[in-house]
Amino acid sequence: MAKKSDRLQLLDAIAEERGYHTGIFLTYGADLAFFEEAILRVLWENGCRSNLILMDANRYNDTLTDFRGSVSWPGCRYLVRPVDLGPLQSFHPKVVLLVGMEHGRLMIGSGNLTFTGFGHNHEVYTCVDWAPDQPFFHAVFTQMWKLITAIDERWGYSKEVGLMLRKAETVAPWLIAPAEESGDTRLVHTLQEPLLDQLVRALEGTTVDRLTMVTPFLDEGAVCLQQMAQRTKPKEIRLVLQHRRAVGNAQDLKRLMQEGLPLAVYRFADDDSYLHAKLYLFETPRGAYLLSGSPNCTRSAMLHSSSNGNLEIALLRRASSSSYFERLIESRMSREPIENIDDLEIERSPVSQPKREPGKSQLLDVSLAGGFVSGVVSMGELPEEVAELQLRLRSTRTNWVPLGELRPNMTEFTRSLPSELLAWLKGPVSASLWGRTTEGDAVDLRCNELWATNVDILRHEISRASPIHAQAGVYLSEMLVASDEEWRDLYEALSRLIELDVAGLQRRGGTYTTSPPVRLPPPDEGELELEDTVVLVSEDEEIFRQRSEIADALFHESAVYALIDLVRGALPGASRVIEASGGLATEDTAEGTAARRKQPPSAGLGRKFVNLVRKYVRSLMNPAYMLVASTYHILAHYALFHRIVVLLREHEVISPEDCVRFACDINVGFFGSRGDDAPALLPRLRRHFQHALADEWLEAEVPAYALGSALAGGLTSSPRPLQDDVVLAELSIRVMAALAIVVDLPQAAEDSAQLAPAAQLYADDLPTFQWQICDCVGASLPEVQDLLERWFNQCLAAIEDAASPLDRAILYRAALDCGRGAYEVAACQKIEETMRRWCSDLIFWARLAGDREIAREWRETLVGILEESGEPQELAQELLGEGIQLFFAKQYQESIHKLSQARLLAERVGDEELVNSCQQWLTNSEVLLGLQGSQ
Amino acid sequence: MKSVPVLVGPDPRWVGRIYKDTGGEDFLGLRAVQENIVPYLLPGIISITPRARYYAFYSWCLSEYAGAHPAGMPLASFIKRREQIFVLANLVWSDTSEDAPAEGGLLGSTKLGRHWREHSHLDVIPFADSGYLKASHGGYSQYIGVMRSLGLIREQEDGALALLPRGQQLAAAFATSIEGTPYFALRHRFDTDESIPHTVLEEYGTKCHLSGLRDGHDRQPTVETLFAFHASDEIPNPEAKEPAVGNMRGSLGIILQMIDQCERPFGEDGFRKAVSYGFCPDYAEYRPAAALRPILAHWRMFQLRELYVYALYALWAYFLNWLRLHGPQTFLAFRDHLNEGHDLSQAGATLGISLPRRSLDAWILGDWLDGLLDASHIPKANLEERCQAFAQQSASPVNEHALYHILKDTPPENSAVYVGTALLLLSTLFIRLVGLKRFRPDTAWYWAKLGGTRRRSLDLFVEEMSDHVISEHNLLDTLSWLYRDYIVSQHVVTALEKWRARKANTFHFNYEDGLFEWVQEGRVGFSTSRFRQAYNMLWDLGLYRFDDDNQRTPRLTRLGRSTLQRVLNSYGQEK
Repeated sequence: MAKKSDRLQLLDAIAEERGYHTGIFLTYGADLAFFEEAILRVLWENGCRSNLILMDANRYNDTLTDFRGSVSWPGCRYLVRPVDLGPLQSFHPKVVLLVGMEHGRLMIGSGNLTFTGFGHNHEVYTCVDWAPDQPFFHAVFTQMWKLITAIDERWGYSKEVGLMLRKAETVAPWLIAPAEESGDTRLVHTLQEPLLDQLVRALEGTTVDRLTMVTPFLDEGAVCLQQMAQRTKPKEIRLVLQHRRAVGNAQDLKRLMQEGLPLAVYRFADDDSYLHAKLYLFETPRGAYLLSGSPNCTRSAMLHSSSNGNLEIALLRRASSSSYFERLIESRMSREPIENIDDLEIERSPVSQPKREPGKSQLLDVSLAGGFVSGVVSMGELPEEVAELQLRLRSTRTNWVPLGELRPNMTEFTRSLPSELLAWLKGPVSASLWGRTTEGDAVDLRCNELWATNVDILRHEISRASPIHAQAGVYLSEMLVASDEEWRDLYEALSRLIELDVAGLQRRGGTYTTSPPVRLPPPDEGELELEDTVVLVSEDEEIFRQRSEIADALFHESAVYALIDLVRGALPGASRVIEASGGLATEDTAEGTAARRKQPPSAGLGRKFVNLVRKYVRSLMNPAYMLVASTYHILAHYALFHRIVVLLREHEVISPEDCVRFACDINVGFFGSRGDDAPALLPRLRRHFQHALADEWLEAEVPAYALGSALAGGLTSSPRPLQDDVVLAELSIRVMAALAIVVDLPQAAEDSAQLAPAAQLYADDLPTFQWQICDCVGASLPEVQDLLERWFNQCLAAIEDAASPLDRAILYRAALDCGRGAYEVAACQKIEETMRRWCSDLIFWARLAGDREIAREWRETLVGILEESGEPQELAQELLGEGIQLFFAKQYQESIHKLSQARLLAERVGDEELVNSCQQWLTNSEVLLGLQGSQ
Repeated sequence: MKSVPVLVGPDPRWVGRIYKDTGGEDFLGLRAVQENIVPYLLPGIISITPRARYYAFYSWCLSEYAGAHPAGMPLASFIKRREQIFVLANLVWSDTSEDAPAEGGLLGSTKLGRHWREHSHLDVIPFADSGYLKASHGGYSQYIGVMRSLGLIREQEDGALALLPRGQQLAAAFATSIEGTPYFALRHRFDTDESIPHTVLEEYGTKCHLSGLRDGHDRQPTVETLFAFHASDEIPNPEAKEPAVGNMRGSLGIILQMIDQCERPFGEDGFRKAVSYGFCPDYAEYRPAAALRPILAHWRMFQLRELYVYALYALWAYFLNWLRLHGPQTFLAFRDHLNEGHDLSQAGATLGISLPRRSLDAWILGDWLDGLLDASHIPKANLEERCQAFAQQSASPVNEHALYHILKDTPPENSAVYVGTALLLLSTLFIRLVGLKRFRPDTAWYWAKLGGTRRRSLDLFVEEMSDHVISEHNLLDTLSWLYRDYIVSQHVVTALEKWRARKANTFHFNYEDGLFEWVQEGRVGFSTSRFRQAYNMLWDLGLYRFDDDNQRTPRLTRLGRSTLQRVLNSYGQEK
């Protein structure tokens, strides 16, 4: 809990814990300026950057009108969405839900998301926590989560909100895990059932000795009060109202008393601020039940479900004795009831407020992304003069985007935005649907207005580094640390961002972000087809796509990515402007850099850095760590630690020899040691050695740092290394072969843009660095080829012993990745025979693995090679002849290669007779090869 | 259901307050910008440094401390003792001198005055304790900033305080002024004594009193210092944040020239009006010399912004007053009230112009502005050209200062006149600013931009109003926009900033469930221009006197005239 004082400090309760990823606020009304200043700012600094406000549609409109000028970030740093239950209903809950991997905090109460609601009015909130070792309220959290997702399904139209919720579920899977319900604390809401029904059920017909109610509102006729009395039959009712502030009708209360209701009205004891709390205490012989939350004592709150009433949320708490709750209420009410109700001035009716007109066209969602505006609409009847529709976008100015004619049943639109318009859409933007006459005049359709989700800015803002991380990024990009203070800041940032605590990771179930899901080949669905086919996406594929999207989004929003992005952004060739959180931009000038000088850290601090590197190396060697940490992080840390090692050397924290040793250790950890089997056969390496992760490897700049550390300056041209040259050379071969599994090694060696970041560390300049790399790689290709072939065969051999179909599929994929690497190495050396052989092998094994897509790709490649070699038909005849010769020489494997190639070419030229002939010999060879194997 | 256990876990709790106090000022956050302009224009004077002689006195204290001081006595104690004696001497002089005016701006005189009255009958006056002023270094704490700005002192990197040559000259001159007194001879003794003879104070008072500067040796060095004749005659670009001490000369020169040209009593209101209209060819009361025009342009922006802020605060005060009487209410209800209760003809009548009776929503903004320009007899042309013409005249019936005075004298309860006049004032300012911006943008326009969106700069106001003109919005829409963006939102932003900075609740309204609820009244007024302090100092220096016939019309003395001439010459131009 926030503090052990009597009063709950809501802002402290929000701010005091780090480690939340998502904040969700349900409220009737919101002061967004207050939210931004008092809450978002703190959440942002604490790393909680996925924030969503769901609020009542009418009050939502206030944020676009009355307070428009006071807000800075809606749609840009957080999402705020209206929930429109209907013209006479309200979305009325008041909930704060903070969700993290290891923490959850839920606050349910009466105060809206405003200055007054959070710290001026008389409000009541209940705060419950979840942690792995504090699971008592798990069920309350899961129920709340179900409710939020149900609200989104029923009233939400925003894809971004959906994505935000899915991300939260990914980060905090405990939200959707089964939970045991507690009878003492339960969440009640009106999504499907009126609150009073739920209350009556909870009371189980037990006698209610006394009902005490604190409420700021009574409905006309006090119908709700009457109904509550009738259904719970309390012997005594105490109604606590605030003098001059409560809304109700004194005559109604008098009438109920005259009718025999055991009602006494008490005055709330403190008129200093507005009483806005809602409390209902039922005292029974079996215990006391307290309902506290958003519902007022009105029909729409208590007697209806959200289908025709409000959406309300409350907690129903039960205690063995009413004394448990006495302190909450008794101290706030007059000792004696009011003798004459007229002494208590209560307002007869609330101030009337305009309600939305039903039946009009509605804008349900609108977002800006990549130069496009897209939205969801619900079209009502249009005035006759409307020839077409247009979207009014309001930022600092008003702009119009023509939508053309929208058909009555059309619900979605996407339009490109003119480039001159994009410049105006940097801050918060709101949108509404308007008509347009043939003369070009705007027609007000009285459509609602929405804050647009500015997806590009939202992504950018969420992934912004905090100032301390931004500064760490500058040190690492410049490779210059100038004082002990800077070293301390760097260490603090790194130790906060780099998660190396295996026990903690295992307890939490992984790093902050998740790994991308493993893509396995789909089940074999028969013969290969050359033609393109329409792809029917299965549910599994769709789930895979969603998981990939979320994993990718989570990583790119993470603090560690922001740091890496900053390091990368400031490297040669990139922009030197470093942006820190809060929009502050500092431009590093040449003078600024020149004024700073490298300074080693104090001895103690230096040791901390060395220990950090050692810990990282140990983590790399630890299968438990490598299996639990996110692959994204494993890739990102690799380049980061190579920079740190060189940074330590350049600041004389470690010797050049130690630098080489650390670089070696990192490479051994990341790629395996020289004598090890194929990476796929080592559990700690298996997850990140996938060709499917090639883009992630390139983004993390792994090839550049691997080649740099292993070849250019890191190992071979360093001062006299402590390790044996042969050992180092073999390790280099392994690094290159391992790289070839994932990326195109020759291409990586030649790509100057890719190599540039590492050149700063390992060479005087980029051309020198590139030349060194190309030279080393070129000279090593034959050995790399041999090693890849060995790994290929190791993987295939291991398939026999695979424990499960999944393992088998992984090994198939690993073999194919090795083969692909070997093919690219052969292609670089222009050894056509080897290239053709690898193609044939890969077609064969891809088919066996059931990966039609891969098999098709290799067939295409093979055909291309063969076609370049000569006339397809003559070549096919020639290959058939060679295949037959090899068959008779009992070289069945080679025979199969040749015959497969012959058949492929025959198919290509449409020579059916030749195809049949090839197939016949191929079958013979395969049969005899099988027999040979079995003998 | 299971048997009922004792409840374990968190309880529902009342929510605690998130603020500590409710005090504050500048509730729209608009005056903060003004506080950036004045230090640029008058860097050597602040509102709590009204007397010129203190520059020399405190320089002398520092010089004396550097020369000799009782062993172990810190500078703070030393200055406080010398200051106490200085104050007592001034009080003695006030009591004993027949023609002594009441000494305003005598720091510490409240508590020491009481002490003096209790002991004035004694021959030997005991010293009071050093708590007569809270600040550790007494009144010197107030002057440190301006003495630094004027180049009298500097804090060194090693923490030492350096009295610079100009400060040493002032110190020496002050010493010369008092050197014949017994106090001067015995001053070191009184640094530690428990009391001081009445006669010593009396003689010291005749030489050191604040009004005696005009006859003292320290007058001329103080003139040199305050007018910063040593500084460059170039007006620094405010954007460059360069030292602006040279602007003292121009600003004080403007006041001297206004005094020189004035034919009637002169005060802050006259100064504000003259800086607003000094550039207008039809403004007869002040015709600035060419040399002073660049600095006058900055003063004009200051004053136009003052009027702009004043008008917005008036609208704000009106909104709060309405909420007090009719709230809690929605903004839409307030908008309806504006439309129903304000036909503008009454405000026009107060100003002496005839406006048709129309509700606000019946006025298109562009027509309204054209109407005001017509009333000002500006020839027909496009709006920009008419604004340019308007900006060159002061004698229009639609006059900002006239509107300001009407507004100041009208209670918010007189709704039609109050709101109408505020709207007229903002409209007039818009016209003049458009004219100035299009006509002759100069470095002074920097102040129009200062504050940006967060502080509702003048430039933003002009741009956004222009958008409303182009969009052909009516006056109701325009006024609603001003209320929403420049008042309600601005107050929310400012109150939240104050809350974050010092946990103060300065909200003047609460907002709950779509309703605004009154909390407290709003105050309206100008921010300080430092004119009064500067005007006092020029008096202290003896640069002007009042007419014998009429005590309120100032006339330059010979020294005043020669100083003005030096100012003008310093810019390379004859008067």
